[in-house]
Amino acid sequence: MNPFIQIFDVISIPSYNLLAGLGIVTGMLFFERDARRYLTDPTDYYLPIVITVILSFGGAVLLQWYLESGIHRGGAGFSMTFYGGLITGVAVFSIISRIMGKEVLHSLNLFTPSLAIAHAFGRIGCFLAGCCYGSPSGTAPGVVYPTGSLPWMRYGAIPIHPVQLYEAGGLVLLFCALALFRKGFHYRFSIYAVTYGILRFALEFLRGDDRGILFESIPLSPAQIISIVFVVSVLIIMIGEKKIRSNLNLQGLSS
Amino acid sequence: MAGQRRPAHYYYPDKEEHMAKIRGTSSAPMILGIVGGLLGIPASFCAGACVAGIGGAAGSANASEMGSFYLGMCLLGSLLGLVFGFLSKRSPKFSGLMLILAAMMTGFTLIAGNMIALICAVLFLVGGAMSFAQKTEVVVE
Repeated sequence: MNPFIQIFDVISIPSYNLLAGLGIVTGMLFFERDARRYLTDPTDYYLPIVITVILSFGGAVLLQWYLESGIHRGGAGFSMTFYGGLITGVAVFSIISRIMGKEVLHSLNLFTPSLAIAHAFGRIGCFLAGCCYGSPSGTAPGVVYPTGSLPWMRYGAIPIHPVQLYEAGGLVLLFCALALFRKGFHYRFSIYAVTYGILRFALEFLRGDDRGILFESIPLSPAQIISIVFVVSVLIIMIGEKKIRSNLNLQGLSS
Repeated sequence: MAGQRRPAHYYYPDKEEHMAKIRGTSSAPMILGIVGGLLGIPASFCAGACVAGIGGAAGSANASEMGSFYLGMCLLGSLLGLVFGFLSKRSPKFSGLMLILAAMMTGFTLIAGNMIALICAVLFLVGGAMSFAQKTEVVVE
């Protein structure tokens, strides 16, 4: 853990922000290289992307604010949750793509691997900042956070699951799969949504930080509930789209 | 379905190429703008807190207002740098100008001893200069 990178003992660079920035840069560089296979001018998407990125950060802060304070508790801090950013980002990007006259799913498919790699960098940033930490690992390998860090304040000097690195590893694998499996371009977003939803649902059991409350009656974390909704909705859309495509193919064959 | 790309100095317009657009080729301004923009967000909170703290300690009556002003100035500069870092390939010259403006806005908060702003200002300044100097290409629709 290293929340600040010191330069000459004068300048402290926040690791989380640096990693988030590097993640977005990596995502953009990949997008530009990859999108040239499918588009004449990828820079057409730059304005939608910048609007989406800025509003996504807003969405991430708002959802976390709701989960932390909302109607349940008082005194929320300034923090973010990924799903808030993802939901806002997908909605904003889809609306702007539609306004620009682009096909929404095609636009989402173009940007999906970049989202995965940017998120992976962000999770490494979380690990360095000491947020989004795991629960005590017991006999399994774990990480002991330094004195004064958030995990140390909650659990003390005991090994805890480096759940941020597990998620970053999963996202890097997902990015590689999405980037290398070119034949599946039309299913990129669906594959991402289902795989990430399952990964996040599983990893939430290892999380040890305060996750907030979405529904008091359901003993699942907000991210787990959103994961279920996310995976189920995408599966329904995928099945529906497959049926429509097969019907169109049948009609094409019959005519 | 990649389109035709060629360096700008090889471009000779003809009847079929009215939809040609001039684009930047360097990714460096984008990288510098995005990293600077992301680092500028904590820098702006730091600037606001520093000015309000220093002003309060000196017994200034409007320390809070001054803090808000510096916070707003640095945050606006960071957002400007972030946005035009992204757009530096789309419109190289205008983005270069805006990145230099962002460097001035974030650099202004250095008066408050906000050292992260120094990094942001340098990143924006270099990004802005590179955005102006980068080679361009013509993209034909």
